[in-house]
Amino acid sequence: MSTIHTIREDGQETVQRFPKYKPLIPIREADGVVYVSGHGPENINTYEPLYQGRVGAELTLEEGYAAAAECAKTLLRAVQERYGSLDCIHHMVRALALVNCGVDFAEPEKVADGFSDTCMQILQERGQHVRTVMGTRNMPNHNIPVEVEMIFVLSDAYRNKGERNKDGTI
Amino acid sequence: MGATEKRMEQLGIRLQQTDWRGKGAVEAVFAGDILYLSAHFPVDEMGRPVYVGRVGAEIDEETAYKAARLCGLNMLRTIQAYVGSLDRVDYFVKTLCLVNSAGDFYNMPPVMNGFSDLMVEVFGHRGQHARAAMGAYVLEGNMPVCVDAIIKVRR
Repeated sequence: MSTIHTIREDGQETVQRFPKYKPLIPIREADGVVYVSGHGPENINTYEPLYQGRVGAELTLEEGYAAAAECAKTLLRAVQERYGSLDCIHHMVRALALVNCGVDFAEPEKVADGFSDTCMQILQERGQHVRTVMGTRNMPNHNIPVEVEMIFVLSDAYRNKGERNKDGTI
Repeated sequence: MGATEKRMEQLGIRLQQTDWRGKGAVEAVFAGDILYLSAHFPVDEMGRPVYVGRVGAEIDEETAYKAARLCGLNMLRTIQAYVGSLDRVDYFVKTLCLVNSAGDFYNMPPVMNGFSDLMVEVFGHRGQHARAAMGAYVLEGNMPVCVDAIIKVRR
């Protein structure tokens, strides 16, 4: 299927749900391992950021923690939309968290705990993952405070079963 | 709520809820034959930071090289704990090296050679890896470097 079909099918404009404007796809599956794009604390329909600003400057640690928890919900929502159920997650593998830090703020790992704790509440021991936390200075979408990407292992029953991308790839 | 849980409620049996907070991030996770490792820091056996500060400001390049080597030693310890013997390491795949960089410090690759040199010393060709070395604005506990890795393990 050629690229133009991703925009129009049978004369109808294709409705893309998640995401709306990016030339990226939120999820890519390779050999039972699923890679999920980085997501921030955003409204999943409008992409409006729920939190803006740097942790330690405009936002407190607690707000940063809550923002990271929202990241987990956004990511898992993307997975749920693709596979129909979070049962598809055999176990989580890895998370890379980027934390937008203000001057002299040196606790990005406590912000990222918001993501990890939420994953553990939802997935329990399946949610354990390795984690790399990096403090950054500038973030997309009007300076969101946190962004997290993740990798997980897919349950065998869900292999190649997810909703396909418009070009037929998984 | 399942039928069993309803029955337990009738019987007045309540199970304690596990508190999962703070248990999400672990040191290593397997995905098939691939072992993913968390970011490792230059800390001692008790987890206390050995080096603190930004490279290019409080910490110079040579000290940061040693800190990167210490990250590697800590990582070897984790690998040994998870797979039993370092002989089971087939090869290193990829590492992401972060350097806590002061304003005008741009020499991240020479710093992270501290990690890469160690792995080649220990594993030879098996220790060679794809690497991304980048400057971060800040890292956990203001430590100068951290390294995570993806390695292939023999079954």
